[in-house]
Amino acid sequence: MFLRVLYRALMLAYPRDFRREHGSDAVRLFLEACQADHRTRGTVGVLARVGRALVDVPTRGFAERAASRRHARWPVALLSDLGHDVRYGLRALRRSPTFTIIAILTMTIGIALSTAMFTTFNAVALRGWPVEHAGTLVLIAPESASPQGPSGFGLDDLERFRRSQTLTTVAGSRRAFNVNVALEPGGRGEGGFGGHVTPEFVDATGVRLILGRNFRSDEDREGASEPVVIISYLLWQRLFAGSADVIGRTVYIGKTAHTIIGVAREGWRGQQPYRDDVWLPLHALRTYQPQDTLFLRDAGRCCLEIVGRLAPGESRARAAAELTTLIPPGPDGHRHRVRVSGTSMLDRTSGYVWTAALTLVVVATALVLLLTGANIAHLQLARAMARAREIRTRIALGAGRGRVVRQLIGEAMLLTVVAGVLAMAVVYALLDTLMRISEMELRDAWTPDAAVYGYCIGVSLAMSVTFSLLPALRSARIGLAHGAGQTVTAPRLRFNLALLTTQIALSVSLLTGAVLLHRVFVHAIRGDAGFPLDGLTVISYEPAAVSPDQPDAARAIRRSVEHALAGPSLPPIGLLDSVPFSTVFSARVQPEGGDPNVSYSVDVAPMSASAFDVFGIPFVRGRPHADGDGVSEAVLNESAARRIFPGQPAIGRVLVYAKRPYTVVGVTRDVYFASRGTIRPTLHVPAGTARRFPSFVLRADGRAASDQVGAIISRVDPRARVTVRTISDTIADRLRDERMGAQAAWAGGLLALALAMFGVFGVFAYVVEERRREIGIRVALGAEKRDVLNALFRPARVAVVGGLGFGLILSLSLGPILDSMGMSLFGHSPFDPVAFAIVGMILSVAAFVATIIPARRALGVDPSVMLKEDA
Amino acid sequence: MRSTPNDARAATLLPLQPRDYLILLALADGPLHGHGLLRAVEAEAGGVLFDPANLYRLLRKLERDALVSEVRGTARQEHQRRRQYALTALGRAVLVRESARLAALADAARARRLVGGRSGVR
Repeated sequence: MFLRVLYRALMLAYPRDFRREHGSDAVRLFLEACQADHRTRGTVGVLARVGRALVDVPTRGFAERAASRRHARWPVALLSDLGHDVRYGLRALRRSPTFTIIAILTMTIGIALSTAMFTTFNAVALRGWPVEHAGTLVLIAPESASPQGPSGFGLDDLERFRRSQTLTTVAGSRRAFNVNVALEPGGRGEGGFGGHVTPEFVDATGVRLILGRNFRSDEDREGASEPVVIISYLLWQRLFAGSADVIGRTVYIGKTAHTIIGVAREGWRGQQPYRDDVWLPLHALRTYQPQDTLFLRDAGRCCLEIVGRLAPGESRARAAAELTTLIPPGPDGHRHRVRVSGTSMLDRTSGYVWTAALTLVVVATALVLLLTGANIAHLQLARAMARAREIRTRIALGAGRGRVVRQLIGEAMLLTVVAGVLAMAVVYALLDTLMRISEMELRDAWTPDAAVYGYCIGVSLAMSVTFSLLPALRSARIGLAHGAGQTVTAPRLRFNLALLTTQIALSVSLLTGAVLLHRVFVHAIRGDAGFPLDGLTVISYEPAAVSPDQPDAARAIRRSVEHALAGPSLPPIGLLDSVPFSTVFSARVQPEGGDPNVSYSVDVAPMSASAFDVFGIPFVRGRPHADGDGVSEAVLNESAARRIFPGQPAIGRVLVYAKRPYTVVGVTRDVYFASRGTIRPTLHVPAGTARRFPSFVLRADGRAASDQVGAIISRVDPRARVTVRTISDTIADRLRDERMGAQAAWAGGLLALALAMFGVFGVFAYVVEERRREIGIRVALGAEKRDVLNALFRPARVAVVGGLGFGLILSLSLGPILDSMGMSLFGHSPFDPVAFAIVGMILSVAAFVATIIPARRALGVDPSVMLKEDA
Repeated sequence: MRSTPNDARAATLLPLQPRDYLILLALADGPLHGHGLLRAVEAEAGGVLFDPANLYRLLRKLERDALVSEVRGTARQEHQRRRQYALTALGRAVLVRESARLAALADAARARRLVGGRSGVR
């Protein structure tokens, strides 16, 4: 996709008639060649091919234009000059590879950062629903100016809107949350969101069903005979592996069997920004929520979401005016106005949100441009100075000043084109990574569209102007009369040093956060939770053949599995109803004989007595509870004992949990069990209390033992679903936010550091270039090299050290910031010397790398050559 | 070699640009569509990459000079939509003459011991 767009854009260099005749052939051939290269030589092959195209297509294209002078008009002449400029620029850039690479990298980072920000903004706020002719799809909502106004429309309003002349189709929908779609009743399934919709919904949105049919109107009414469902493409793939005979098969939503009548096309994920998996008839809602306000007569107007298609030639304003007249006035004679909007988030919200969002985007873009521009300005100035001689020569040979300026701008544009292309590739890679680590299925909404490309091109152009104009104008002022390159006056060095300090501080604090989160994460999955975590493995199974009304069969299966596991060759095995750090649930308990109005919330973790040993949870008092179905003994942790029986011994007391009394027989030490961050009051009751098929836990190195357990279960019940997971993996899953935060902070921090270091490089290079003459004289007069370097680099060193200091101070505020983002440091102090040391080291290495090249250049100044050059 | 009208015209088109020669050479065994041609030309050039748009630009030029003509694949072929290119009689004549010219040059180089024997290895 990206390569296609790129090549198509490059082809613009060719004359139109050529493109019309061969354009699509060439693009197809290019893509095929890329594929072939990828097969034979991998990514390197594709890069080589793209690199060749980047150079070849524009130059040959403009040459071709120049050759077809039959249609020559002035732009052609200009473009052919531009072709010369591009070729000249290419040669000039090849002569100073360090400059070229650093300038391109800086701009790539700048453009990629701002484009990535815009992509996010675009996906979240600007894009409408992914449907055909999205422009005529509208959402209909009340214009609620007063807080007492109606909060929505009801079924009656939907009927009224159906009489509309300005809309061709009107459909109602209501969101459904926590939809669990499974192949067995109550089984573990897929899904999350869904929609209850009227049959017109499919027509209105224009979403094609790739299999099956739409709802019939008799399926969407009260007391419809058979529950039916349309499923998403993704669900079809996940539950049925894309099987063609899915229509007519049964899935369970909750405990109700539904017949699948249709599959939506790929890419339709429902109403953004949700991710819908099933669509049910609107009236099926009565089955699930008979008390839903939608069906209550006197509940006022609630809560239907209404979508419609505008009739050809109608506008949103006219539709709004018409729909307003269709609603009868309220008791006070006031007529509520109807609002008709597009489907994107920003469309649905009112004016000031628009303004705020746009301001944010503009400010963020400006900031990135300012930082990148400042970094590049120095680089470009240093280069302009180094090239003053070349430019003077060209002017002396008769080149017009305009021509020189144009050529410098051409070079800058060349750089920005390359940077823009690279930036788009970076954005694609970033999005890809984001999708993978966040397991989001929103690819369609996030894939860059025309708006993103337009934005990227716009930013690149702005960048190329800021990047080239100033130095180009300065260079043009270089006259023949002037001697040395001293005409290029020093820019505001101090201002730029302040900018650099800020950048370094920012990158230091980001990197500190990254190191910190990383350390926290590693500690959480490897460290001590009050019991050692390493090697703990949980094996869960779900028998295939047992339905809920066969308790005896379930018991038989469980007993034979447990019997088979009692073999001698295995390490000790415990039974668990809930997996630590994952499925531990909370419930309320009451002490027997206490105040009936007082109950306590505790985490409940049913497990066998042997599980305490396997985990290594020590007892403070008493003993583990006995095992077995009818046993009514329980164990508390210290927190629970303190909370429920403050100041009294807990052993021997009776608790009521799930309407059954349990005698407390033991108290364990407090350990982290439900979460890695906090210790909660916890109640342990015998395994099997909450689940018919408890999981097994054992501690072993490697997978041999857990695989053996899995094999034993499979032998007893060959169709059972067995899952094996280590506790560390479970915790890692739970800490996904923290891990993603750490990854984002690493990426952001390293990018910011790279930008800052390119800035440092630019300033140093500039300082060296500006003071070449001085260096030459000093060296000629016998100055030590070290002294020369010291004098040169003092200001930049101040920026690095200052940035480090400010950054460390900034990072002290990390704790509260992470906290506000819902990430915990689990008791780690944000003032982490190890993290600071690591970041300090990274910064020192980076600063050394950034200064080594300009320093070598400064020391390489040969006084005799230098002084002759200026003579 | 018998002299034909094509030979007379071919003489005016010599010498060929190296890339034009590579294309004509690749078509000597029979018609090719774009992808096959690109592969063949890149192989002849020893792995140097050839830009697709440039290939079509050169093909258009060769077509104007009547060295190459576009042929439609027969309907049974899988890539029936694709354009195929074939040598014209003139194109073949030019290719033959240019090859002879290059062979003579190679002989001259060999005589000066710039390249090895028949194998042409450096």
